[in-house]
Order: sequence, then C-alpha cells, then structure tokens
Amino acid sequence: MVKRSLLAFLTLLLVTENLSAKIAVKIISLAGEVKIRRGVEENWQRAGAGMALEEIDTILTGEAATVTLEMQDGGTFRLGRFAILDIADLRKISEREMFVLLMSQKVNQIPDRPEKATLRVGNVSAIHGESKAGTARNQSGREESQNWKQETNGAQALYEQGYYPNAVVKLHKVLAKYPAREDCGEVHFNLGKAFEALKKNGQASDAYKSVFERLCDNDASKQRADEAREAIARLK
Amino acid sequence: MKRRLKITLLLFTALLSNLFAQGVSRSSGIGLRASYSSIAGSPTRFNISDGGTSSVYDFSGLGSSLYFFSRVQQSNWFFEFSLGAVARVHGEEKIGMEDHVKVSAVIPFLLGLRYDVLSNRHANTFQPYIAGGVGPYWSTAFNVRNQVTGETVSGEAELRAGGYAGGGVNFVPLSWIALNLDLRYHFVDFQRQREPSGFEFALGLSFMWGKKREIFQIKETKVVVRDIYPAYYQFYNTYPIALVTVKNLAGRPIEVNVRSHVKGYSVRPKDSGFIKLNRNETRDIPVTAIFGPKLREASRRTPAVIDLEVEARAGSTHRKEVSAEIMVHNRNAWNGEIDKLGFFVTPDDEKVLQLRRKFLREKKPEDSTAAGNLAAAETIFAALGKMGLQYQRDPNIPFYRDDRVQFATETIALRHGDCDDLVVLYASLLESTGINTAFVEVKDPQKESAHLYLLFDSGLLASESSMISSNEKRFIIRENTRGQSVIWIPVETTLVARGFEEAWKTGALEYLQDGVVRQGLAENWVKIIDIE
Repeated sequence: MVKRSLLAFLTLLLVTENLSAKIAVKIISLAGEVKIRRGVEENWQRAGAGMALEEIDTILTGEAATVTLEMQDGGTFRLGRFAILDIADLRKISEREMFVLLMSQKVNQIPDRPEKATLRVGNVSAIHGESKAGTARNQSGREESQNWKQETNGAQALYEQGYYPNAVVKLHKVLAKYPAREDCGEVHFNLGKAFEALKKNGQASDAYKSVFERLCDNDASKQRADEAREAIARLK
Repeated sequence: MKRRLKITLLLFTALLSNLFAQGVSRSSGIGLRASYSSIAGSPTRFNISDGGTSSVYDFSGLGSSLYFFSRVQQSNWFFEFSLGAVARVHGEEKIGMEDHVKVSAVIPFLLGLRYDVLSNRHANTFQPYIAGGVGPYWSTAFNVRNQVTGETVSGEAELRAGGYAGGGVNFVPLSWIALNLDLRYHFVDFQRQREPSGFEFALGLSFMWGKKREIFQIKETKVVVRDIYPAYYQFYNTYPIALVTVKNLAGRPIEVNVRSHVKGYSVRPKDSGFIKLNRNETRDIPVTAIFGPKLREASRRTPAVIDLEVEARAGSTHRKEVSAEIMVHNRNAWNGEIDKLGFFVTPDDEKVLQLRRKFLREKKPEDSTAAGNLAAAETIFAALGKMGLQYQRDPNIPFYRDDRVQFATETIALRHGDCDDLVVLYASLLESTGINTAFVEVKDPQKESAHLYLLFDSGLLASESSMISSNEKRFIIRENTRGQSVIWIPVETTLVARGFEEAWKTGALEYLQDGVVRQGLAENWVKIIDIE
C-alpha cells in the first residue's frame, strides 16, 4: 500500500516532466575498438562511423578507444577509453527528474511479498538443484571488476561533459548493481563531485563523508581522502 | 423431603423462566390491580355478640385500580396513570332495634413515574421497579341508619392532594403479559381521618404492546463490494463486502455479532465474531462472506441478496435482520484490476498439476543446459506451443464491461486465449512447479488498451547472471525478502507458438522499452504485480 502510494506520487511528479522524449544518436568518429549491442541481443558488433544508435542500444569502448557521438540536438558526446554506456543514459534529465528516478529506484527495491517457504511439489528439487552448467559460467571476479570499471568510466564521461544529473543516476545504478564491490570510495567520491556540481551541498557532503568508510590502503585512496576532506571543508 | 422437592421445583422454574426471558418489556401496557390498603383507616374486623342480639363488622382497605403505562423514549422510565378505589364498609346491627351501615371510599387519580431498575442490565423475567407519583385523592362516605323511627341517609365528600412512593416487581413470562406485585406508601391528609397516610399492597395483571426496548440500533448498512466476482471468492473470506453501523443503546457494554449469508451462494453463514461496544458507542462492523462452489459455477450476471443478521448479547440475545442487494458476475468475469487477476491462477487445480507433470515427464528439465528455473519454464512453454495453443486477440470490450478471463484448464481445452488467458495459464503451470511469478501490466498512455505479460523467478542470484545471458537487458533484477538480488525473466506469453527464446526476447524488449527507456516503471504505467 505504501509502495503504491509512493509510486503514484512519483508518477504525478514525472508526468509533468515528460520523461519519455525519444533520443537517437549517431557515431560521427571513433578510434580503437568500439562495439555496440542492439537492444536485448546477446552479441556485440563492431561500430562504424555514421552508424545510428537507438535509445535501447549500448556502446562499449576498448582499452585505447574513443568514440564521438552526435546528439539529436546537434551537440556531441565523447566517450573515452574502457567505458560502457546505455544510449538511454544520454537523455538529459533535470534535477527534479533525477530526484524522482532515485526515489522510484528505491521504492521498486521494496520487496512486495514474503518468499514462498516451500515448494509445492516433490519433483522440483532437480529444477532448483545445482545447475549442470556449474559455476564455471558464473561471472568471474575479473569480469565483474571489468564491467564495474567500464560502467564507472561511463558515469565519469557523463560527469565530465556536464550531464551531472545523469551521472548521479548512473552512479547510483552502479552502487545498486555492485553492492559488495570494494571501490576504495571511488563511486562515492564521483557522486560527491556530481552533487557538488549541481550545488547540492548537503548530498555532496554526505557522499564525500561516505568515501572515508570505503578507503583502501593505497596512494589513490590517500589522495581521494585528502580531496574529500578539502571538499567537505569547502562545502561547509 | 417434600419441602426439598418444592424448593427444587421453584429453582427450576426460576431458571427456566430466565432461559425464556422475554427481555426488556414493551413500550405500553394496561393492567388491573387488586389491593389491600390501610389508607381507609380502621382495620378489618368482625364481631357477633354472644346472645345473638347484635353484630359489628368492619371490612376495610379492599380496593382495585386500573393502570396504564407508557415508556419515555428509549429509557427505563415509564409514565404511569392509575385510577383506583379503596373502600371500607362498617356495619352495626342490633336485632329488632336498629342497624347502621357506613360505606366510605378513597378514589385516587394518580399520575406518576416508574423506573425499571434492571431491565437495561438484565433481560430478566423479573423486573423490579421503583415508582412515585402525585394526584388528587377523592374521599367519600355514606351513612345509612335504620331505626324504628325511620331511615336516615347522609353523605360527605372531600378532595385532597397527595402522592405515593414505592416499588414492586413485574414478572414477565411472555413479552406481552406481566404479573405485578406492588407496594407503595400514600401520603395524603384527610381532615376527618386521623391517620390518613398508609401502605397499599397490590397484586396485578397487565397486558403490554408496542416495541420492545432496543438495546442496539442499526444505523446504516453500507455495501462495500456490490459486485461479486466468483474467481475472487477467497478474497471475500477476508475482505469485508459490507459494513454494518451499530449503535449501543443499552446503557452498558454489549457484544455484537453480524452474521452474513448470501442466498443461494453461501455454504454456511459467516460470523463477524462478537465485538464489544461500550455504552453509547457506534461502530462499523465489517462483514465478510463464505461462498460455496455454486458461486464458481455462476454462468451469467445475476442479482443476489445478502442477508445480515445482527445479534447483540446483553444477558440474552437480541436480533435484527437487514438485507442488501449485490450482483454476482459470471465465473470468468474480471473487473480489470490487475491485482485481482491472480485469483484466476490455479496452481493447485488437479488438471493443471497433471498437465505440468506430463510436460516435465516428456522432456526432463535436468536434461536441459538452461540454468535455474529456466529449464522447467522453457520445457513447459515449449510444450504449450506444441499443443497448438494460439494467441487470439481480445474482442473490443467497452471499459464499463467486465473482461473475460479463462482459467488454465479452459484455455487448454479451447487451445486459444488472449494475453490475460495465456498469462494465467503459464503462471498456473509455473506456480504449480514452485516457480514464483508476477504479472507485468502495461497501460501505455499512448495506446487505448492495456497489455500483459509474465515474469518468473529464475532461481538465480544476480551474481549468476552470466549463466543465462551476457546482456543484462534480458532480465530483471529484483530484491527478495532476504535482501538478495535475484533474476526474473520476462516472457511475452502471446508468442507461445513461436517458442520460448522468442517470447523471452520480446518480453525483455518490451520491458526495456516501456519500463526502462520510456520510464513506464517510474511513471507507474508499467506495473509488476506478484502472484500471491
């Protein structure tokens, strides 16, 4: 009931924002290995200049690759090395939409019902048992680490090119998708920067403070901690 | 021994009379009392001399009265009016010489109030009361003297104001009759009598009519669910279909129960359970109903009546009945509310279970390379396609009419169904396998009609996603109650004839386009409803 009320409230806010405007982009230049994946297809295909991308598509850059996209409004967007981005993430959103999306993301995470305690029939244990595919097909730690880095770089690209609300939403998605990831405070630090750029000093300060809970014992972490400390002092 | 028997009989009679107690007395009554009173003055005596030459007699204080009473509002108070007469006859006779007879009477016109002490608290056969009143007392006396010289007749009369106070008890064996025992003291001062005031003891019989005093009032009956959909019959076991507003008039706490019964459809009455109502409290009592198999057989829309019996306990039980009209829809009717569609999902239906067993026997999921629940889900979907099941578009149904949803067994028999029929069929089979499912309802603001497809729990954690797809847009991550992120698979069930892979891909694409890219989930026109 609470969940429904919250969703109804969010709907009301979103209706006024016209979120469903379509976007499409075109690749105008690229260097290195750049791939695209259409909608829900399994396979990636090599990208080429002049290729049009839909909002359901995804673009991926390799280790030494960059790609420049032409937006529908005539502007450009440059995606740097080792990054992944959904084309839908490029639709510019307002701060209010950002807030509503973050809220709806949280509301949708509220479980609807308790888990069923037992299975109804006896012969389904095989179905729920250990898969014959085994754990070999599980996403390996290395693969997950790569995906996380690519997505974080995608969010960084959004931030660097002034898509601050988009960067905030993307970074929240990364946090939700990799809850156990030890990132040495990198995502929260970037979140702090995006909020600061939006002049949301309270949220920015909170994000910077969260960095200290996740620091690792390395130089990058030390530098991040110093910068976060400076930022908190600046925001006071 | 005899005495014991008498006492036992007396106690038994008293107990029996309480069991059949008529409760609170009716609003009006009329009665007749025979009384003995000391207000007429001297005591009753009788004396005849030894020689038989003279006699003296004095009959005093015998009387009767007619009384009428009427209840004041809904209270324990009654107005009481009585008109009576108390007489004294005094005679002296000397045989052959003279005789003297004096007849005097007191006639009171009394208006008073009676208060039933227990009638509110106990619906008892014995109802004690206290009473008091005022009025004029008319006193008359006639003297007739016969002497040798002739006869002399004289008379006198006097009017005085007075009053009375006392009490008594009514024994009410039936609601319209009462035996009365009354004791009162009259305050009146006649100049010609030295001790005018006195006690009056009376026995009476009264007949009553009018409404019994109510201990509760049904203020309103609201039908919350006027349209009854047979498929939701379990829902009505717990969800109130009516609210009965009851007010306590008893002046003390009472307990109220509402019993519901839908003529022709209920297997047995359903009690709300006794609910305590404090003095003067008004409360809405929710009414649920138990429907029987006949409801699920309803083949067309038919009006029906729900009978509601309100019973209140305050010593004995008081009952009132009200009825309300409802509409029973046909067994396949669905009012379009997505959270009610789950009632059409029947995983425990024996035919569904048989079918599921048959499907999984023909192609064992263990032999599949698909992970988690995907193997069973794929096997079942493929088997449905193999049966020649076809999607058939819903006829255009106006928004004010019910949609029609087929149960799983009906779709199997017909070999076709629209999107809701196919979703219900596939959900029934998956749930019967122990796989959790959810409906995805799409009410696209740019389209006129809604659409449905299904999600099912893959049984895999989000971290195991690479076991089923490298593209995260192919599935949905949902959090379970244990805080784990689990993978759910969207399936466009209308594509049953084109195979599982195509149906999965299309479902995922629809979810991506409508739910994610066009923000249908955030805007709430794309909804996920778990099947309970």
